Amino acid sequence: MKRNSWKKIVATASALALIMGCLTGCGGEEPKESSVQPSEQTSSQETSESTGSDSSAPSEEEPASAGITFPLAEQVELTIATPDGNVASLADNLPVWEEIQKRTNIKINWDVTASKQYVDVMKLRVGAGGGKLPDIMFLPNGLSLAELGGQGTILPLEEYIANSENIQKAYEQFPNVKALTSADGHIYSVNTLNESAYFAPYSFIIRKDWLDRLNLEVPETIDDWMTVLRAFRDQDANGNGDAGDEVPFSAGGHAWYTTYWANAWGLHLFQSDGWYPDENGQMQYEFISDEAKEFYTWLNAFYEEKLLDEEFLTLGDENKLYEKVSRDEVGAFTAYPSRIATLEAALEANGVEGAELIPVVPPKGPYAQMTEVVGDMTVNGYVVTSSCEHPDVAVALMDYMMSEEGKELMNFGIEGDTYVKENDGTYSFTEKVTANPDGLSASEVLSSYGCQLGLCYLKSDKREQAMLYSYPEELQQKIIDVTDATRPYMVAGMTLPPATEEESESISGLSGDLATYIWEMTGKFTVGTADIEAEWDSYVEYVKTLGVEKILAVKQAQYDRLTSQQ
Amino acid sequence: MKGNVRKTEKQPLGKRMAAGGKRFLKNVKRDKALLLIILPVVVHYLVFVYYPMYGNIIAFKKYSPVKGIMGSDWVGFRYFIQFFNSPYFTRVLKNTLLISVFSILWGFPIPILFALMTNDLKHGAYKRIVQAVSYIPYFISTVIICGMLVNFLSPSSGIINSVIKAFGGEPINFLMEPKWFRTVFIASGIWQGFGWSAIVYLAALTGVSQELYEAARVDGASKIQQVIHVSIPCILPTIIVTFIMQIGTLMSVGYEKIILLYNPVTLDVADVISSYTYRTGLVEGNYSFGSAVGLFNSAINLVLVIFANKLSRKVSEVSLW
Repeated sequence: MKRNSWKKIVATASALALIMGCLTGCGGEEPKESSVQPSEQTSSQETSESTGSDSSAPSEEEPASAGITFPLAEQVELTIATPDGNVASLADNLPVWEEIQKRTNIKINWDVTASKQYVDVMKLRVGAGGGKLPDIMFLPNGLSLAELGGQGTILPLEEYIANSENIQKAYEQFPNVKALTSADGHIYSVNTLNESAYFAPYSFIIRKDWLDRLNLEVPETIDDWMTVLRAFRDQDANGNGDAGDEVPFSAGGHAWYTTYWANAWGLHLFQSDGWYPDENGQMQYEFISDEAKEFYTWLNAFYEEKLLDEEFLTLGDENKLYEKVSRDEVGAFTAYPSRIATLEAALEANGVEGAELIPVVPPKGPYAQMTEVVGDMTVNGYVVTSSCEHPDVAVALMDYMMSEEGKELMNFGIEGDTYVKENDGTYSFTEKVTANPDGLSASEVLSSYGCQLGLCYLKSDKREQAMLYSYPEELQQKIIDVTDATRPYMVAGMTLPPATEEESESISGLSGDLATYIWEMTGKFTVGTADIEAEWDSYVEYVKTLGVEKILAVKQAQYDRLTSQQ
Repeated sequence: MKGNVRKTEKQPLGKRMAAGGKRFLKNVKRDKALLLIILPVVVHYLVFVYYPMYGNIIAFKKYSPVKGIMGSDWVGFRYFIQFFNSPYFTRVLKNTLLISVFSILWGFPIPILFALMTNDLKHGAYKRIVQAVSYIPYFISTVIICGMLVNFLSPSSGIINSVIKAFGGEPINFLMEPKWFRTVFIASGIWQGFGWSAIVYLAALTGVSQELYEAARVDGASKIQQVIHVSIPCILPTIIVTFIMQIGTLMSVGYEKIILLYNPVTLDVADVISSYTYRTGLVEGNYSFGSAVGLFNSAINLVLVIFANKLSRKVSEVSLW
């Protein structure tokens, strides 16, 4: 008991960090554009000129990285600034990077900063100007590509990228990369791409053993869900003799989590923040649509019926939710299916026998059956600075990271040491990873080898599958099956190209006030302190006075730039 | 002395400065030990208080991390106007003032009462234990305090609601009820801080001469009368100085505890200037806006302190300066 309550306290201690993360999430999923940028758009022409005088200019006659083959005949040194690994430091010559350097004959000088401080430190270094910047750096959040590019601090990479075979091949799989092109037509960064975003995406998770105990089927529609959750509420689903201690559906401390249900109303509130084009390509703010009104009406009933945890706004963070789940109190929630193993283990540790959690295919609702998927591309990527003497080699190295070889190294480590490649093309980890003698988790072991650290790469969905090794086979199969069953309903979240300076200037300060109001009203509509019927019109009106039309105009322009690229 | 001054006045400027310099050097030489002692403090203030103040100019600039503080463009009062025109300006101002005023109203007398009570404890060990227990909460971090509050106030498993239920009441979802927010916020603040704040009064009380109490006892004063007529008048200067300092923080309610305790439903009463600035300034990276609001707060606080100080000097002849 005592230990448990300490755990609780420790878990709450992380509340600040998570609330911050949460607020950022609500602020907008789009790549954050700092509102401060150089005054004139024309600076893009100056860029090519100013870099033209540099020895590092993209030479027009020779296609960029086409001529480069690894290993290089003559060794080249590159300095890379990047957030450091949390398990082992890149500066200590980690095996994967040793191997990459050997195979490419590039000597890498690491300029690493602890991942938590990276953004602040790097922003200061770039801000201070002067001095030599690293050749390649991970763009810290808050600096704008367009501004740095306009000043010539970072180099346009599109010509090199156009000639990079592996990057091009990877880009074909990811339509979102179109959003990497800035309004000035340049591409300044290469970002990490994630195939596994579509493997086991964020979904509803339900207690299968509770369903079995009450002889219920896995819910397929919103109405099914209501029936199942009512049964959880009333029929002592956890079988402890007290019918009052079950929370049918819980969420982790922010109104945002409840908008996952809005998928079934065809609304893109959860991942795209409500900014989504209609079928005519017109950007809409879905939080004020008629469907949203219906959704909120449902959500209010959902809360009033006590199907939604009455603590859903005060839990603090996801960890508090997971604790509640592991105390055998919660019937369903939303999470990444990769959580299941940990949660089942926690349930078992708390003496719950036969606890079984399963991901559920998105339910069919009044207007849609879908789930928004994001995260197939990181918001920020790696840029090449004007200090770099060999930008062609730098991009060639990034290209190498996206190759089959680079992919294997970054996802699985060293063949024979950390993984074995089976004949059928699947990968499995060695015991060094799966049952580490030092007690490290699989991803910690791989991180200590340098996997998924240091530079952009292609995150393989085969890695996610290989990571399922620790799951009971049945659960592995279930997750794979549910992913396959979910695939037809996956809808890509909206990733827009960066806003221009004028654009972000015109809406500066608006989105924060809007987000505050939206989440406040979402909470109030849900709990019922604001009456939906009576207050909807004034709500819509107020959203408009907060400048939603101005923001829509900017989003529309960004969206048009995206669709105008072929 | 007088003649001396006239003489220096007549001397040419260079010589006078040389003389002044000489005297200065002599003084430095004489007081070098004292100067050495004060040096770290001066350095601390210069480096950590005065030097960072120049960063305040970004409140009048469109700060860009790339251009740096000096290189950013001037925009005048733009961010102040943006703040005054914000749809949430009146709400956050009102909430800040309400929370501050009630915090002072309830929170200010309690440490004084507590100090007066513990001061009269005669048993040494018992007194020390009471004191230690009372100021321990001050050392718990805000994040943990808020975690404890969420746990204790939980409608399903919290201690408070268990007690309410045991007495047959309906559980209250404290953190979801706007009307409870200020109570929870201020009460927990008092619980956390009263023991610590009482230290300064206890120190003042130990300075009260025992002869005064003896004289009062001889005159037949009861315990209560001794407190009213001896203890309180003797620590009144301390009380007034502390009060003036508190007035100077009227506009600053820290954001940490607010953002850990508020949620959309209680935002109406919970959102204060600092939490609003935190969201628009820090989370969205709008540093100039954040500085503008901070500067506005400091300016008002300064005016309030000056006003409170003047008033107190007039009324009670006790003042900060």
